[in-house]
Amino acid sequence: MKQANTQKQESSSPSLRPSRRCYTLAFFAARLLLPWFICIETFGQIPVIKTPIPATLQPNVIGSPNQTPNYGPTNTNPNNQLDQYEKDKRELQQRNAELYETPYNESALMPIQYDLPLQANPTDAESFRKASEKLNRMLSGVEPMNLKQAIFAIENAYFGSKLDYQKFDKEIQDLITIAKLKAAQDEYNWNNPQTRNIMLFRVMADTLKVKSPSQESYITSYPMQYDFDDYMGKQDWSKMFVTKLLSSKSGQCHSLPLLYLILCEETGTQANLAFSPSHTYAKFKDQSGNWHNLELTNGRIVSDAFILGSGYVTVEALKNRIYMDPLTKEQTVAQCLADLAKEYTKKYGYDGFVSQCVDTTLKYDPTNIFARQVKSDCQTLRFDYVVNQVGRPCPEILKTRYPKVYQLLEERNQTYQIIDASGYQEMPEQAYQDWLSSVNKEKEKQEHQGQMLRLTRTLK
Amino acid sequence: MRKRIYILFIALIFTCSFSNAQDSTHYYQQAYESIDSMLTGKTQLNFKKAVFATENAYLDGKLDIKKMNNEIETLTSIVKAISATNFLTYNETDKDIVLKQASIFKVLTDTIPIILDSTHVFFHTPYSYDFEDNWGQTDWTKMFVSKLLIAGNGNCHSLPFLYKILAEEFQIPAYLSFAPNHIYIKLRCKKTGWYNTELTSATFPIDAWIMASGYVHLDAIRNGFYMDTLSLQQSVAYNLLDLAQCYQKKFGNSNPDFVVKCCETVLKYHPVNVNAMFTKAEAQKRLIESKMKAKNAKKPDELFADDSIKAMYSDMEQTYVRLHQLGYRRMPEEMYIKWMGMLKNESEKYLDKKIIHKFVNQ
Repeated sequence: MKQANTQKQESSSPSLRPSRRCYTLAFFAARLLLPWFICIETFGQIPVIKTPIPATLQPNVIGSPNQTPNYGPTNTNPNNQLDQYEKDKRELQQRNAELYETPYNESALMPIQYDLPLQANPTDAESFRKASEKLNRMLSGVEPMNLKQAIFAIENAYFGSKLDYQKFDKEIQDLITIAKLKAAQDEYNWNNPQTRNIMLFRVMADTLKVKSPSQESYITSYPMQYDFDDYMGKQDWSKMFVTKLLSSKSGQCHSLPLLYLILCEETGTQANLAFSPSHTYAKFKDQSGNWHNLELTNGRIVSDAFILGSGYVTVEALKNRIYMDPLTKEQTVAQCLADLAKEYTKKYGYDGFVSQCVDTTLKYDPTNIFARQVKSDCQTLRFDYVVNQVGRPCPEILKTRYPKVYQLLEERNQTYQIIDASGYQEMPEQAYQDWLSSVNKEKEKQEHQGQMLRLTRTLK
Repeated sequence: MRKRIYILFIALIFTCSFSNAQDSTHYYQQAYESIDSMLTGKTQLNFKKAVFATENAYLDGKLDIKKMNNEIETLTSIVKAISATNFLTYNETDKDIVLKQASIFKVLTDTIPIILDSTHVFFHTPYSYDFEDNWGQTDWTKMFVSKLLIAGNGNCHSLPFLYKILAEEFQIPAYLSFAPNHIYIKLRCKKTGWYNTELTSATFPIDAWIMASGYVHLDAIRNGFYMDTLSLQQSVAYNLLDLAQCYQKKFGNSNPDFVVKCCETVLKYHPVNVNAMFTKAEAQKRLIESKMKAKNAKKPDELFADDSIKAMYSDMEQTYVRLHQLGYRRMPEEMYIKWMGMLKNESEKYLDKKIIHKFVNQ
């Protein structure tokens, strides 16, 4: 049994650690001999020697659930009794470490594994596979594109196919009913697509009091709230879900615009999703051909200037259409597939399934920067996993001795280059919050009221 | 005999005045040909030469080009001296280029002490922004690099042009870029990617500032009207538009043919040059107006018997529609001044902190 107790080992026997930048022949000789010495010295222990890590190969992983594994030498002391908690924790660490590390002496004998090991057993991940197949059918045109079903499929996958579609559908229909009743009550023409755009926006962003047709009572519908708690889904990824939004009436910048899009789709009116840094929002085109931006986290119609005001939208990003461009339905479904991949990483980790999903997304929408980032994470981890098997040599050695591994590095760097050239800039969380709250400034309020007034005037 | 002298005298006056007018337009023709030969590849592309050729035409050939070249040479030697001090903490592979670019920026915007001997120090003062008549409406020479070099102050036309000239002297990249009624410099470095240099206020604003003017339509960015970089050829071609504007300032709108010709050449090399599109359409509009006046016509349709006018009219109409569709919006002067002020008043929001903090060693 092996137990990773890196902290302890490092402090007790620092001399066992070879120098990080030692790539000389002597080192390779030492690499062969050292384990034997350790074996003799620390009787009965199974050591794993830390392999040198050249600085240039340090991966830069964004949002990886598995932190860069610790390669410190492990030590087992059978006499040392650990409590159950510590033991479990270490076992988990060990398992993670093993995923990316093959003991040195096996590397010479075993063929190199080029694919990341599966993170979930096939029966567990069955729901993910099903969801991905469904989305693929939609994208390839076998099945009609339907955002409601696509979103339900990916969220259902996360909960192992335990969500209730009927309930999901009913909640959506209820919202539409209220919007429709309100439109009738205010004598707006529901057949006008713009009415539907506005009323569906209002049912999400406004308090509406409508008379129930069957009973003589009033129904009051309250606006959807912004959920400030863990709005990036760091602790709980299901915070991003439309199903969560429907059941709790609070959501964030991922679920709110998607729900609006579903409502519009159900009533046969056009609305599009658009990206801005760390954010998504909805857009629709009015009868005169002007676009309007719906900021559903605050229930406002906002100007382009507001979105640009974040300061993180660059010219290159606009020219490459990674931000502020209305997505087609195909692009939106492709985005769902990338969301599915991200869910999978949150639940299990990175493996071939993730890269398959994002590759499909990028096939249908090469401008999707979110999918591109998940892809870069995948490639980083994969390269890391493979290069560990060959002892992490420096890139020059890699190039001559393991051209196939070197190619993985090249591919990863290529993805990084695409991301850099796209004009993408990372937005710090504080900057995001400051920007989002700036929607409450007087100028933006006026913008909203002005646009709302102009739009509702044309509805009757 | 007396009669003869009279005739001779009158003839003399005629030829004088005639040759005067011809001489003036002759300079424009000369400048046009010199720039056009660069564009067609007969001569080498040279931005400095194109700029001074244009200014020389407006000044009726009286620009002391030799003096200007000397001024530029002085500036290049100061830039060289400054870059030798290696004042940047920047260590990427494009270090030499970035250092040169930063040195040019420093020379244009900072006071540089130059030690002449043990007792004398000469201070090279920065070029400042000339707030008076900043769009050259009363005095067109306000736009000129030669005016900037002599007077020490300039505007959003002459300052980036001077930067571009200096960069050209060192054969390092520097790109002119348009914003509504504005020109600025775009540069790229390995460490932070693209960044903007604003010489009128000696700062590095982020893209959001340029968009915040409120006159940059999203589509105008997407199709390259604004905030895109100009190639060297396009920058040289842009001088023809300046030449057209010089021509208009000098001779009024009576003869728009030359203006249209200049604009068309610019558009040949830079099809989305928004200013050239606009100037061309305006010139065509005025030409049609003057023809209508001459024929006492009330509607342009009355002139359509002449096919060339009909074609010109529809061309003009299409350009206006296209300009609007592609996102062109005119910016009033007071809005321009307000916008420029935003860089000072809201500097926290609009300055590029990456550039300022990361590798400028201050």
